[in-house]
Amino acid sequence: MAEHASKVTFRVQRYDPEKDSQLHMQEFTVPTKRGTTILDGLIYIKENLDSTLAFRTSCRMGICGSCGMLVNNYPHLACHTQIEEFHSNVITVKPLPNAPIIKDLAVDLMPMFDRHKSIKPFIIRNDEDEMAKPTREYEQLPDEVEAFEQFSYCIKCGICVSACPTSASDAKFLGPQALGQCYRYCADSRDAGAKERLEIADSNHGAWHCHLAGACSEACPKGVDPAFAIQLLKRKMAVQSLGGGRKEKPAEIYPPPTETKPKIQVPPFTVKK
Amino acid sequence: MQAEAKHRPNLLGAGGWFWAGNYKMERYLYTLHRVTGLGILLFGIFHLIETTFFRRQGESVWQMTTGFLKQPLFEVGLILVAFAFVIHALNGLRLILQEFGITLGKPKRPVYPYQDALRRKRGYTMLAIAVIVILLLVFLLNRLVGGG
Amino acid sequence: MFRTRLRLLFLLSAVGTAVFLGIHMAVQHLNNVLATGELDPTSWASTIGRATQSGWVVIYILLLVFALYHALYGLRGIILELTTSEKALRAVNWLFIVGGVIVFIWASYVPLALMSSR
Ligand code: FES
Repeated sequence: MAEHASKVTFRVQRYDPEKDSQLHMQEFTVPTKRGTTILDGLIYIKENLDSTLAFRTSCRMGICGSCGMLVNNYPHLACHTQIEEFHSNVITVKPLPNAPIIKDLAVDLMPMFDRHKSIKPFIIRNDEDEMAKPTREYEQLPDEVEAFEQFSYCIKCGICVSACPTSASDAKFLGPQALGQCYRYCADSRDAGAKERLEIADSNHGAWHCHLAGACSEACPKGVDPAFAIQLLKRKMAVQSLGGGRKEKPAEIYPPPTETKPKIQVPPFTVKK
Repeated sequence: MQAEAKHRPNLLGAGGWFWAGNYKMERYLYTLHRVTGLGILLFGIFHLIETTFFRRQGESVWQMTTGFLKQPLFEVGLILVAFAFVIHALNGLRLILQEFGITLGKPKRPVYPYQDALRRKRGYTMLAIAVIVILLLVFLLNRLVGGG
Repeated sequence: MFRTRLRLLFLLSAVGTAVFLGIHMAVQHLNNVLATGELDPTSWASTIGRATQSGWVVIYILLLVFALYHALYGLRGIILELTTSEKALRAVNWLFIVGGVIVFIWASYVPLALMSSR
């Protein structure tokens, strides 16, 4: 296909905490061709037009979750989104809502990371010795992996939080990211920490303030579907609060430890040395 | 930590309940659910006052009250409340089912282009909307048959 | 799991409200379509006719219980999403508990008194 170069206008929201009291928009003209991403455009601006433009990026391949931003009023990973997709000559770029702005397009994701940490995003087990010094693997069947695998692709870009209506008004709300990950670990057959985690999700600003607007899942650039995870989490919480819940033990190590039999005695040498 | 104080807060606030970007239908059903709920609650307060304090004062006061309320403004309001009830009740039923993951299927490995459970099983949501629309028409029909 | 239990009650009361308010709405708004023979369900004769039947009084009181809990817990949730202040939330909790009980007593006393006075 022919490579056609053209120009688009980038309308970028600017804010410098040292100088500006108000947010304002600034326009740049950026040359594009087939395959140019939003991030390429921003890098072009920074290198050629205005070096003071601030945005965050690292992997430029949709894996690190640094470059979430609001492009034409919809959150995208800038590196993962081509300008062509928008069929428009004007591209409006703003920082993700619901996260404090550090400068221009760079937002502070620390509050989200803190909420993520608060739900204990790691495998919790009772066999502490095995955890500290693993001797074998934990057994897990393909079906058991499927129960949480989808939710484990979260790259913590903050896009779901920017989409969520509850996160918009409630700064203490755990948010789709943390709640989704809460389910991801609770659903893991190797984990024994569901009880403590569900208590955290049961808090005042917890899972029940998800009202299934579904915007988080719609916007998620990795197909993680946090809304679905949260609904499954609610089901788990409901079952647990009524006295049900998983009774079987978390996955055992595999292969199971066996008693080593005493070695067969080597017969004594019959030939004298 | 000092630098953090300078970060510009960017929460959308209650405005974010209504709009945060160009999202699909479900996010606006959420808004509609909230608005209809609050509307019914507001009506409920007046309704309770009417049916307790006013009714206790006997027939003549009651007739005066209902007579006063027979104005186009209140009549339209009453229909809107009935509509709000239908929407809130059936959308709520849908939400209860979906909130427990009953109509959402099973987790799947994400394959591009991604589709989330709510959209994969949108049929149930559309069904709820269809029932809502039919019931709204029935409520409207009752008004028309009754001559307003 | 305290809040989960409250929330389950909230959902249960939602279903209860939908059923009983559904009945109420059908009587009030579907009188022509369902041919209930009621020309004006809000007339004094009609309301008092229902208020003197214990079946209706039970329905109305159940509706009151379910709707009151559903409404107040729902509103509390919305307020909680608007403020991060724990103090405000505690005030709302108590206001709604006390207010809810008062409204319940008053609004169930009225139909009971009406019924027994006939
Ligand atoms: S730069 Fe890593 S996700 Fe975009």
